Amino acid sequence: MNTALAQQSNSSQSLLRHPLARIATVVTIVLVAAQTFGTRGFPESWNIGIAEPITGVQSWVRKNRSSNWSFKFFFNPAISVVEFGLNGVESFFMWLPWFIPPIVVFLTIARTRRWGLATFTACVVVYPGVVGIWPESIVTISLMAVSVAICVLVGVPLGVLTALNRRFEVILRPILDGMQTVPATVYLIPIVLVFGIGPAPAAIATVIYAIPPIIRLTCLGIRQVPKSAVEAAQMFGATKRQILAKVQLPLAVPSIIAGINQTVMMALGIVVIATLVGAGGLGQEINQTVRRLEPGRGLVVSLAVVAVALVLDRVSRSLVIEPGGQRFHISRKLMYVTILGLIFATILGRTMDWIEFPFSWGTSFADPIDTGFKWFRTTFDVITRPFNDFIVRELIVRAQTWLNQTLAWQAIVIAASAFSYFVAGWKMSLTTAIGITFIGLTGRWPDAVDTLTQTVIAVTMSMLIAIPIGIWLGRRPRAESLISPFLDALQTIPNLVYAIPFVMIFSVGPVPGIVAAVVYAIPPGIRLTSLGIRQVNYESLEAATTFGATPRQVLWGVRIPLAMPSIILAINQMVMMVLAMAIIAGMVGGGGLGYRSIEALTKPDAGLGAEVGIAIVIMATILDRLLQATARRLQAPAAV
Amino acid sequence: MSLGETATGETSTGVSPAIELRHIWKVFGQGDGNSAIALAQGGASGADILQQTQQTVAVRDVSFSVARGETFVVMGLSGSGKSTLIRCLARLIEPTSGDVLLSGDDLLAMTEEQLIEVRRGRMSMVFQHFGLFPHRKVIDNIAYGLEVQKVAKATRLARATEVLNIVGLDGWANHYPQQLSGGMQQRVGLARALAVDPQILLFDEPFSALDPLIRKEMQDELIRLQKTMQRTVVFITHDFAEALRLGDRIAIMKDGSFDQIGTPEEIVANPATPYVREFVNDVPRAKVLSVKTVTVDGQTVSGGRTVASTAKIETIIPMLLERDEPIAVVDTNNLVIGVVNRQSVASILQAEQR
Repeated sequence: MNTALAQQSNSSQSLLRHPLARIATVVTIVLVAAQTFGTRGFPESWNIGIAEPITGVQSWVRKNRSSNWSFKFFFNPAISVVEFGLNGVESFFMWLPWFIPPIVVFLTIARTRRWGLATFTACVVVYPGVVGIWPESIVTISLMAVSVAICVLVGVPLGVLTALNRRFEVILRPILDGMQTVPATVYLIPIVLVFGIGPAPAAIATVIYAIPPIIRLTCLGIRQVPKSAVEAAQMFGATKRQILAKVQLPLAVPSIIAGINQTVMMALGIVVIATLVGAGGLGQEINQTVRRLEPGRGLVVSLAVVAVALVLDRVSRSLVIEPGGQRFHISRKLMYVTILGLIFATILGRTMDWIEFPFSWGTSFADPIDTGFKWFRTTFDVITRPFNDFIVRELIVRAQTWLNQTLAWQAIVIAASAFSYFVAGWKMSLTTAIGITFIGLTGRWPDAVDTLTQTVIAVTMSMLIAIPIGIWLGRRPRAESLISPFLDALQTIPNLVYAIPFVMIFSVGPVPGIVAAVVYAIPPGIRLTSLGIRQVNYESLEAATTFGATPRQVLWGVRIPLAMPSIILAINQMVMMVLAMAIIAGMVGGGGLGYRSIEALTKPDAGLGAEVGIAIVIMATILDRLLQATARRLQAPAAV
Repeated sequence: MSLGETATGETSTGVSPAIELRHIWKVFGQGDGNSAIALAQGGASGADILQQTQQTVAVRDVSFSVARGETFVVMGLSGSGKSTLIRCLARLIEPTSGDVLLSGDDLLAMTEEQLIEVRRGRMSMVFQHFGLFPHRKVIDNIAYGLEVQKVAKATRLARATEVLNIVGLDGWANHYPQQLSGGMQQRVGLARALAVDPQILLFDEPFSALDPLIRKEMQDELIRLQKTMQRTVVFITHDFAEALRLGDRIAIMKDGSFDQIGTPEEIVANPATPYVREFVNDVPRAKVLSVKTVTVDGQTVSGGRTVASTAKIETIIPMLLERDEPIAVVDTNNLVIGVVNRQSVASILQAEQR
């Protein structure tokens, strides 16, 4: 077996090495030919018009929304149920005296004996009240609660099914993968078409956007149950149902909770975009602050979103039953007493009319922030303006001219597929060629070029910052443990929030989007790089040191090469984050596919939405596969 | 295979053995595995079969039987197929072909429900990495087998406490498995298996994850328990010394089939293949072989020293050192069957030096 494998890899290597020169020559000739005879920019007349049938469906839906049976008996009732749930939760929270939620949060977390955390989280609950956006927060929390509840009710069974049923997995997995790259604005369009606009469609959109992690992590949790535990249960004659209920599900609980956590985070991430289909609450507030260019208020409201995220995160974590973890044992009696106490407090609050938040500093303290930003803007104009102009004129405009006017589109396709061939073989090269050409055929070539340019600029900037920091941090565990909570916190902030300060500083245009994307993408880039550097086999490092390598030689000769796959994955992650930011960039004037997707949603124009969605998915898929393949190539061969 | 046939000698009593495996094959990979079996029967090597069928033959035509109350040890190195074999026996994986009989009942013909019945009452298993449920307390782990049988809570907890005491873990009932040391965790695994009072106990390398001192302690524990309980045991190990200590009979497994089956003494005295000899070479023979193997014809002074033929050689070495006179060897009926002397003992001990 060993020798057979060795021979195989040998032959493939020599295949590559020997005719490499020949292939390179052919590619060069074809490239030159394509460049000489090809057309600049993708010919618009080639548009195959995939938008038309979709627009047809759209107008059919519009006409038949009130008469067709599927709407009468399925979609409309579904909307009513969700609406009912939303209204119920919302009016319950509105009815509740303001001091009940912080008390409940405090008690829940205090069970794990972490008093400091419990107090802090309870204070965080009060924050939206203090800044005077209590009602808006309730709207958002109700939306979260209903969406996440639906996600759990639907996602956990789906996850279990995925884990246990191969055929089901084969169907579901590509759908989940696709959902992660399709921009949310694109699949909001069919929702708007089918369900209309309002809080309930927003909840359904949130569910669809946020459900993948809970399915994935439930599936993962079930799969990760030690095989020996399942075998043991089998050996004791447990039926399949008993194994699932008593072994697999309980052992998957931490993973499921992690899934709920991520689902909550994703749901909060779409909170701003959900306002485009009629969700109110904090998202709408943020949207307005961007429009009015009030970064201070934007920041204050964004912090409320972060507060909601933090509270939901901490509470759900404290609910996880860690076997043997430190926890108060609560007798039934104590529980009844507590619940009675809470009910009494509620009644008291109602009768005394302590319902609304008693005081509010309002957003007055946001004004200094606004002033600060204005000051920053005028003072550092000498730096920001040239920076802005440099990126727009020297990078974006030049790259676009180059891609649209200097290079023939045929040459671009051939160069990209040749590169794919060297990295990942002929299959990938074919996928790349077909994918890029297809973007052209849908008529989104110019927008795609625009987005690609901005993505490349943002990713390059992220790499230049994140990778050196990651390499530096990877060797300094103490510094890393100091920084990592901060990096984690950054990841819970909804991505529009990142854009607000930069819109203030750079004014509307592509630059705030790019800078926001860089800031958004850096934390995971740093984390993955430093993880790779840290996880390098200790023995390899010791060996290098014993042979007399200087620290610099150890770093460049051993650590970085061995960490290379992780670094590539870090780059991959950053590419995905930057692409995810494309829509936000579109909202603040970035143009490209992101802008088109918002245009498609606000009209709504399902045909345009489909084109944009396809283009982004193709771009993301190709970039993702190429980077993954690169990482695999750089990976030392696995042990046989 | 002729080795398999000799091993089924125990059936001569007429009662069907507790466990009987006939011509078990297990082929991993896509497809039904028949072509791989045909190739293997034609003498093809594992690498050839892999190349031609993309399948691996993990167990090749293994047959053996285990009598009631016997401890049968399967010893083999990693990759020899021993774990696959015991999983075929428990039907945790389906053998590609062959029969598994438990007291004459065909395990492989059973329906899912019947199989569950057998597992609930008749056999249980101790796992290499313990296979404990990390979300349940020690006591609930032990009671698990009874719980799936829907035994009332009080009854099963009483039984679990009883077994907990048997394995010497009293006082640890309300801890979680991961709070215990490796040795203690495996005691929980053992207790969990004993709690359902099975006739058959399967051990899949239960002690190999433990450090040597704890391992020895656990082996002693098992020997002690087995003396009082007399279960039918199939024990998988990669440790030859462990096989010798625990086994009534041992099978040496290599590349999916048995090289030799026999009592520890038979194997140490007459290793069947060079592979088995490799293991035997490291064994102190005086500790394994009985006096019977070094008995020669000869006369002794009447009324002189005697020794039982089943005693281990190491017990007579001091006697021979004390006085260079032959010692009479007697069988179980106290009849003299021959003598041992310094030469006969020295010759067998010298064989060790080869």
